[in-house]
Amino acid sequence: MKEKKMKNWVIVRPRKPKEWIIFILMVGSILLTISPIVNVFNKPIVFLGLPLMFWLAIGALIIVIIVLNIAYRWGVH
Amino acid sequence: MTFISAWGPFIITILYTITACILGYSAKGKLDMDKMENWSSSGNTMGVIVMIFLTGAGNVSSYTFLGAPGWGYSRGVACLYVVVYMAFIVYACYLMSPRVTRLALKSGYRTQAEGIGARFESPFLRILCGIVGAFAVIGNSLVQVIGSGNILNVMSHGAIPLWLGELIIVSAIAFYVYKSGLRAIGWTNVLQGVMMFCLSILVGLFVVYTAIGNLNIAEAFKTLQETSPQYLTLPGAMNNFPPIYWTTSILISVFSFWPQFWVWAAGAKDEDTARRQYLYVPIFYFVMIPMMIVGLVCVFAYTEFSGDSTDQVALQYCLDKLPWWMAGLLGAGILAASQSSAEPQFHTSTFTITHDVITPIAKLSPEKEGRLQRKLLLIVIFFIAFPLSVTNPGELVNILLVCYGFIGQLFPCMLGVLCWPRATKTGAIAGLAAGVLVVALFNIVWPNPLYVHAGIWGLLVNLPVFIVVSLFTKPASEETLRKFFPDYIMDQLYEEV
Repeated sequence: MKEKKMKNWVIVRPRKPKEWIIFILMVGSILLTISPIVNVFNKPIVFLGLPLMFWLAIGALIIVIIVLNIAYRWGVH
Repeated sequence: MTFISAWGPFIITILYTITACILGYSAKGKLDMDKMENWSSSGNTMGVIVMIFLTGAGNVSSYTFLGAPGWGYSRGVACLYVVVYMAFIVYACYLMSPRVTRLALKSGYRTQAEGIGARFESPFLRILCGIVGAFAVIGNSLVQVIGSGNILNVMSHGAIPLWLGELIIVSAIAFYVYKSGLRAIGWTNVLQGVMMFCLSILVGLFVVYTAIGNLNIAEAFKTLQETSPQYLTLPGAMNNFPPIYWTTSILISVFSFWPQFWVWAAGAKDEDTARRQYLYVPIFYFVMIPMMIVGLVCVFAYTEFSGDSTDQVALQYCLDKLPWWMAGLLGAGILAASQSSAEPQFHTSTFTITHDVITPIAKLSPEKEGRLQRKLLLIVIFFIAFPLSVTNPGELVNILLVCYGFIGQLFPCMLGVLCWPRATKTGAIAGLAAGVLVVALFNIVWPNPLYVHAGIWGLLVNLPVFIVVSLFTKPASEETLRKFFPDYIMDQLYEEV
């Protein structure tokens, strides 16, 4: 009699192209703010009134809002 | 100095506390708060607006108005790591919270530990996660309690000692959270959120103006660039926050799905509400930017600061140099930030201890559990959080960093709940135990070795143990897994042998 065995590597992951795009945007935006890319912003330069690191932080907030709104519109959950 | 300019800030701060108490007390409406689901999750009645403020204001805490400017003053731009990680935590919340709402509505899992315990079919794992989660959340609450004590201490010119200030605020919180549960938190957070947003911008502008005589922020930073450029880069003025520590602190925070996130999601009306709130929550986090600017401006504009802790620098500057009513509003704003975060932390830790530790062990009925959780709130606040905060264990930001290390160890369990059906209870328990041990060692014995956050070290051990042990032990039953995973996953999960 055949028994049922669970497969080891079935996981919940992106399946459709839009899901993959959102996933890549999420991971990519995180990578933009950590080593080594953070070193691009890690300079004592004042740009448009604020240090570069402030723009990194503000950019992170804006990117998250944009990515999540795209995800919601596309029905990516 | 006239009476009003000396004591006006203190009076405004106290008036705010009274207002919050009245609002919170009346929030319960017609809900019976002796029922566990009403006190814990507001009976699933919270809409998008309240949820946005519940989450946004709940996450913006004493850190924003005290810790962040304090770190800006002592270290520089390193304080911005909190803005970055709080932005990215929203990704995890957007993906996980609607699933949690679905589980809560379908199966009644109101806490993270309960969900984890049910998924892994392990009452022991539920208790373990409950203890780890409650411990980390209580630790986080210390940040708020200490912050509150600082406010009343500074506002009263030292007349109210730190411990008494802390006691006054925790008593106020206990008063309305006991009465109205999560609903009180939601409504007071709306008030507190609006206050925080307005005040952060106003105070930021006032501080820049008093420091340089105009609102040209660029001029303020040019001054800092010329006199102290180390404040504008990592590793910062104290040379202890290099890019690797920035990176690992952000990553461990992104992996931390806090127990109160689960409780909030379980209180949402539906999945779409749980999802939609996160589209707008990051807007709230802009409130942190002006306060971080305040801290950096104080580096050159407030060299005479001599307080006990840099956490007080922004508040003391405002008291010394801003109009009395502005300082009073700032005090109220900081209290708003502290209370809006402490409330859900006390609520969640109490609910978790009752629901996930005491009830499974003592096998309490829902009615007895409902009555116990409100009483236990008073024990958590007055006999655990308050005494710990009086010991003043450290800078607000450092306390936060330690707590994230522990809560991050629940991440593999959450992966097992939402993503990986093959994960087993033995793997989860082994990984969690190993991770917590590593975090404890790398906080107490050898703090953050190689400038890598202790929580990341914990995950580097936790995850492999979790995966390997899971692969060699028995998974949960198909019936249980069907509650947690979608049909398309279940359809491909098994093969016949």
